[in-house]
This record gives sequence, C-alpha cells and structure tokens, in this order.
Amino acid sequence: MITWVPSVMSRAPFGVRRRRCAGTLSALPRAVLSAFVFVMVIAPGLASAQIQQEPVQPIPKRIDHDPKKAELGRALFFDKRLSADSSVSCASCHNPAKGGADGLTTSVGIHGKAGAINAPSVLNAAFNFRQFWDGRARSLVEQADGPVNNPLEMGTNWPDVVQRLSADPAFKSAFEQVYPTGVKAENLRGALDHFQRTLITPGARVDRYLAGQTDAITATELRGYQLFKSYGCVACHQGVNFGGNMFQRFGAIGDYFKDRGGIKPADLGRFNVTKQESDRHFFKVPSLRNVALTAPYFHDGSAKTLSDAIDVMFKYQLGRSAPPADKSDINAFLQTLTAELPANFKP
Amino acid sequence: MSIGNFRHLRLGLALAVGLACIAGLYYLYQTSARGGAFNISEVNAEFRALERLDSEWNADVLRSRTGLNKNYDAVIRPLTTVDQISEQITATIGDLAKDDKIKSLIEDIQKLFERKITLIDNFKSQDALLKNSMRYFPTAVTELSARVGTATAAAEITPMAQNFMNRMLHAASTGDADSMTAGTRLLEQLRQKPQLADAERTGNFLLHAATIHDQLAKSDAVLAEINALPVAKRIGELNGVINTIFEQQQQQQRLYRAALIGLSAVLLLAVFVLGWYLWRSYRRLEVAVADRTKELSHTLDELRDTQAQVVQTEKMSSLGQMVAGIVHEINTPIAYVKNSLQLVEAQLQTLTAAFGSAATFLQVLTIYPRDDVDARRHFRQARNSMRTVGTLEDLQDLGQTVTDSLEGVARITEIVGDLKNFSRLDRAAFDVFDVNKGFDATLSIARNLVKHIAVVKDYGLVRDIWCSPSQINQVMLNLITNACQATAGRDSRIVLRSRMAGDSVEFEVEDNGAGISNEALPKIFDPFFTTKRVGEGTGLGLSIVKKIVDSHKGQITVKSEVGQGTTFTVILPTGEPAMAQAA
Repeated sequence: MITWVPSVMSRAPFGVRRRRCAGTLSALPRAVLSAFVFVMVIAPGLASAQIQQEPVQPIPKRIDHDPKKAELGRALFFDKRLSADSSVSCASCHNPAKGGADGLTTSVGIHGKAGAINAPSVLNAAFNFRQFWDGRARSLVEQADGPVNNPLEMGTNWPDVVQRLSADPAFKSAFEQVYPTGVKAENLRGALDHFQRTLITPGARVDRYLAGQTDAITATELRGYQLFKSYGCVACHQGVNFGGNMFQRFGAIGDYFKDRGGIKPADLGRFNVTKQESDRHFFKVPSLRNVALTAPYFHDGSAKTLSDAIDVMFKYQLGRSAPPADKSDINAFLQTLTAELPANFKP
Repeated sequence: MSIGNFRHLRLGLALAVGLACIAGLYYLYQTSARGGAFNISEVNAEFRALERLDSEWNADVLRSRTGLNKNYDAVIRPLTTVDQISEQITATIGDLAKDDKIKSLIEDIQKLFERKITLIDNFKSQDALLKNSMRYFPTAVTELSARVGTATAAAEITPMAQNFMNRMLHAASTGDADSMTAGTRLLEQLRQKPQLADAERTGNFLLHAATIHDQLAKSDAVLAEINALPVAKRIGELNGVINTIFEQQQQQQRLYRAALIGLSAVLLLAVFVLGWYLWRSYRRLEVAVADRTKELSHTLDELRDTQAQVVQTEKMSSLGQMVAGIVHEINTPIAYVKNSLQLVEAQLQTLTAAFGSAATFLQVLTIYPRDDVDARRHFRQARNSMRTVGTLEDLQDLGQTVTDSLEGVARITEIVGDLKNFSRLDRAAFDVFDVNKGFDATLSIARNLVKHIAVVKDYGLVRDIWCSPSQINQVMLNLITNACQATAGRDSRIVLRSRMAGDSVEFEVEDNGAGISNEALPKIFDPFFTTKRVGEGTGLGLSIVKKIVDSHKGQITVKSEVGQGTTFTVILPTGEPAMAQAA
C-alpha cells in the first residue's frame, strides 16, 4: 500500500533486507501516478488505517493540564507587568488577533525597541519539540525565560517580575491559592506552561479530513495536499504539527543567505546554540498550522505572503521549480490548516 | 582507703562497659535496620525502562529511515521520557548518586544521550533532504534530455546519471562501499559536464545529485554512530555498579546483623550470669538474714532479760529508797504496839497481884475462922493491891490500849501486804487492777514521803484494767515519788486524778513543784537522765515507767511549766479480757 511516491529505498545497516519498491517509477508520468494515489487515498473504509500511513496527523483535542494553573497562566500571558516598563506582555507578540503571532517582520519590545527575529505563533507551540527558532529551549517552561530576560523584548528579570506581581495583593492571593509556595519564578513559568497547553487548535479542516471526513477539504485542496507530499514539502513539515519536530538548513539546496545577504546573528540559527559549523543556518522547522494567519514568514519575516513563502521554499529547500497552478493548490491546501482559536485565548 | 578506691574503679569500669555495650547494640541495630537505602528492584526496573527506551529509540530512527515511520514524531517522543526516567533513577538511588564512580557514569550516560539527540537531529535533517532528492532525481533524469538539449549530450549524461542513481540506490540499500565509491566517481564525472553547469536550466540536477550523495554518506555515518553509541552498555554498567554496591551494602548489613546477634547473645549471656549471681546472692542473703535474725533474737532476748533486770534493779533501788521510809513506818506502829503491850504487861502484873490478894482475902474469909487480925491484914493487902491497879477507867483504858495495838498490827499487816505486792518478781502476771485502789496502795507505801504534802484525790469512775499490777504500781510510785521530790519544802500539793478516756483509763499525777525546763523535757524519758545529784536516784525511773506504759500499749504524756508544776498523764487501754464495770 503506497501513499508515498515512491517508497523510500530501505537502508538496512544490519543486513535486514527490505523489499525494494518503485525503482522504476521514472517510467510513469507523474500525473498518472498522482491520480492513482488520489484514488487510493479516497478509497472508502480505509480511513483509520490510512491515518496511520499519513505523514501528517491531526492534533488531539486536549493536552493534559491543570485548569486552575492554566487560568493563572492566562492572566499572566496578558499581563504587561512581565515587562520592565509594563508596556509589553506575552500577548503583545503572540496576539490572538494575529494568529498567535504579531504580524510584524520582527517583533517590538519594551520602549518600542525593534526585535531581532520574527515571532512564531504561540498556537500549537506545545507540540514543538523545542522552542525558539534556534531550538535553545527544551520546553515551554524554559521558553518563558527568553523574552523575560531579553533586553529587546521584555527587558527584565524574574526577581523583578516576582516583585511587581507580589505587590498586587489580589493577584498574590489568587496565585497562592493554586501555588501554595507563592509567587515564584518557577510557578510563574509553570502557570504559563499550563496555559499554553490549552492554546491548541484542533478541528482544522485538514484534521477532519485526516480523521476520515473526506468532504472536509475540496478537491483543489486535496490536490494541494498531494502536491505537498509529492514535492517533498512534507519531508520537513510532517508529524502532528506539520513541522516543529526537527531542524533543517534554511537554504538546503540553494544558498538562501548568500542570495539575501546581510547576515545577522539571528541568521546563524542553531549555530548560536551548538557552535557547530554543521549547524550554521539551521533552524527549527516551523509548524504550518494556522500558517495563513501568521504572515510575514520565516525567521527574518522576509516573505510577506504565503505564496512568497512557497516560492522561497521551492527554490531553496526543494531545489525545484513548479508550475504556478501547483503552487496555488498547495497554497489552497495550506489554508485548510487554519482552525478556530481556543475560547480562552483572550485577555 | 585503697580498697574503697578499688571498688569505685570496678564500678566505674562496669558502668563504662555496660554503656559501651548499649551504645554498640544501638549502633548495630541502626546500621542493620537501615536495610537498603534504596529499593533495588525499583532501580533495576527503571534501568530496564531506560534501556528499552534507548533501543526503541534506535529502532524508531531506523523505522523513520526505512519509511515504516511516516514522520519523525516517534523519534522526538523519547526526549521528555529520557529526562523523566533519569530523574526517577536519581531519586530512587538517593545518596548513592554522590558516589564518584556512579556520578561519572551518570555524567557519561547524560553526555551519550546528548550526543544521541544531536545525532538524531542531524539524521532527521539529512534524511528529509535525502528522501526529497531521491524522490525527485528520477524525474530530473527523465527531464534532463528535454532540458539539456542535444541528444548526444543527453545520451551521454543520462546513462551516467542513471548509473549514478543505481549506484546510490544500491549503496543505500546494501551499504556497499564499492557502490558508494563508484557513485562518488560518477558524481565527479557529472560535475565535469558543462551542460550541467547551469543549475536553473538543469533543474538543479547537480545539486540534487550532490545532495543525494552527500546526505547518503552523512546518513550512513550518522546512523552508524547512533548505533555505536554505548548507551546501553553504560546503562548496564551503571546498573551493575549500583547492584554491586547494593550487594555490598546487603553484605555489610548481614555482617552488622550478625554482629548485632552476637552482641545480643553475649549481653544475654551476661544478663543470665548476672541473674544467676543475683539468685545466688538472694539465697545467701536469705541465709545471712536468717542468721542475723537469730543473732538479733538472741540479742533481743538478752536485752529483754537485761531490761527485766534493770527494771528489777530500779525496783530494788526504789525499793531501797523506800526501805528507810517503810522501816520508819513499821517502827512507829511496832513501838506503839510494843508500848501498849508493855503497858498491858505491867498492868497485868498489878492486876494479877491484886487479883491474888483479893483471891487470898476471899479465901481467908471463907476458909479460915475470923481472925480479925489476919483478916484485916489480908483485906489491907487486897485493898492496896486494888489501889495500885487504878480506877475502873484505867482498866477500861487498858482495853482501849489493846484495841489500839490491834490496829497497829493491822497497819503493819497492810504495809507488809503492800510490800509483798511490790516486790513480786514475775513481770508477766496480768490481773485485773483498779487504778484508784492502786493509787491508794501506792500512797500508803509512800506515806513517809507524802506526809508533809497535801494530796488531793480526784478519782473518777474507772473500769478495771487488765495489766500487770506490780508494774502499774511501780509506775504510780515513781510518778508520785517524783512529784513529792519536786515539791519538796514548799507549799506543796499533789493531785491524783483518774478518769475514763473513751475505752481507756487515764490517770494523772500533778504537782505544783519546780517544773521541768524545756531543755530537759524531751529527755526525761531517756535512761540514766537525771537532774538529781550523784548518788541520788539512778535516772532510770521514768524510762522504766515509759517502758511499762509502752508494753501495756498505753501512752504517757507530760505537761510542765517551770515554776508552776508538772502533770504526768498515763492512758492505758482496758485490755483483755473484757471485764465487768468496777465502781
């Protein structure tokens, strides 16, 4: 049963032989193959078996969390006192109205300072294996340290935040009811973590489609999905989050940075963390969920529209050209990754 | 002194040994009871889990590589689980984590996992690119002829490209180094082709070929390294070390427990030995006590005898004191009686002569003829004799004299009777006794002493008591004697009282004498305590009194005020058997 065209050569280092497939695929026109696959995919009664075979998966409806802690985290998320001049909260750059991002090329921090990097969406960040473009935080709890201590973002530190928040008796008592040890950095981080676990967007049309609701997406969108797979976008934008579980070089085939020029520290990506040459310009593959809401794209916010982004990806990651029709189908498909925002994602 | 020190030393030593044993016992108990600072089976289970996770991880990497896993989600899941399990293990082994060897192994394992994570990250990036380029390359080859142009160039390049593709596929599926080398060579040749120089025109043909080649090589290397990481080995080592340490701990604990048992046994033995000693001492003690008791009994008997003797002596001495008085007492009635009898004797002589003369005269009158001269002579004789007798009153007086004498005798009898009573040796002769009568008897014995003293008798209605009359008499005599001596030469007066006090009889001797000072008062019942001059009295009087009262289960109290007088009060129970009321 093949949905991946063609099946990958099996590399078996310990001599376990695996059936080789599709070595002679070059004989078939790609279009016919696509149609064949299309038929295979919508064959009825194989829905659940097929989900397992898909490289992308729907997200679960809920991640386990403590509702009381999540509620505290919600208050904190929208609380500007987390910044030095009380002008910036988490929601400033991870705005519910802007798909969990801020719609800017690079974010704006305290005192109106321009940030260094494009803000990724907070939506579904809980499914990412690392946080930040360079993956330096292993968890959402660790991630909270970043903006708080970044002089271009919130420009403060946890002791000061704790002090500002502790001075508010209402907040303090509400906090102590849930966290008996009181207003402390680890508890603030924990609360934010629990809240972000609720910022997931299940129920996107693509998810419904993957769950078996074959009419959830249109034919064009479905075609876009097939192209998404066959062109190889899915090689990196796979998994439950359509990405977010691996690093990849930005400019895998082409040299993106050479063409763009003006290297900044943020452009070094993972290299900033590991100091390995082999990691230069490597970034965490972002999740494509709700991608339609989070323009501009890439860490430098250089792609203003989704079709711009698709163009860049084709050129530098896939190293291929594609007809505009295909690209537009893929674009259409990507629209189906948009879902409703969680109800509690508001101040 | 040296012996005393030695004893102290031994005691101190014994105590020290005892304390050391207890301390040792406690210590051994604690160390052996600590019973495994961690749960070894839990630890082993956690290590198993970690090993499983690691091998599953490797398997998932391969599954991703071979396409069995359709995405890399399975390969990122262990990231959080590894941390959880590591924390669990560290928590379970507790203090052991501070051991140097273990610490270094743990650090090793952590580093290995870090390396594994990095390698897997690399793997994912490489694998994605490899798969994409591999998927595209056949198409690229197909479209090459359309792109490159001249059929010949296409005819030359395409086979080379296909050959390259096949080599790569072969190398990918078999790991054949020759295929890899051939592929490398082919790639180099392809790079030489000028037609392929324009990347855009050729659809990035060379780039993809290079990607396939490079990523395949890297992928091989990465997978090889991932699988070569000695994670499982180190985990096994760590597990082994922990188990060894655990075994050692168990061993040590067994030793401690054995030592504990040993020490306990020794101590138990010591306890038994001590117990036996104690038992032995106890038995000996019994014997010793019995001996002592016998000794004491003897001594007590001797003392009792002595006491009796002393009492007797006192009695004798007090008796001696009384001898003079008694002698005087008796002398008076005796002189008295003697006088009277002498008087009667004399008078009887005259009477007898008168009676003789009268009888002769009568005879003459009756027998002989009347010879006036003889008759007158005998008449004159008779008359004279009759005159010497005295008058009729004189004769009547004689009768009285005899009566008086008889009284004197009676008095003597009384005195003798009292004396007899008094000097009786047997001390245990109990009898009924009337206190009032006792007082009177004593007064008569002591008449000499009390004759110048006013005696007031304040007798109440008392029952008879069951006691030793001689002893109680002695008590009374002693008290009265003391009272008399205290009041000597003054306006002296003693009061004798008796009354019932509940079921007991109370009698009192009160004097208005000199009194007893406060210093002397507590000592008056002490033996040999006396305020009299040497040679006067023995100082035993009151102590014997007290002894007698005590032996009768009675009570004696004294009230005294210097210059005012003294009162001795004796209370005696009526004793047994119950007696009829005496008036």
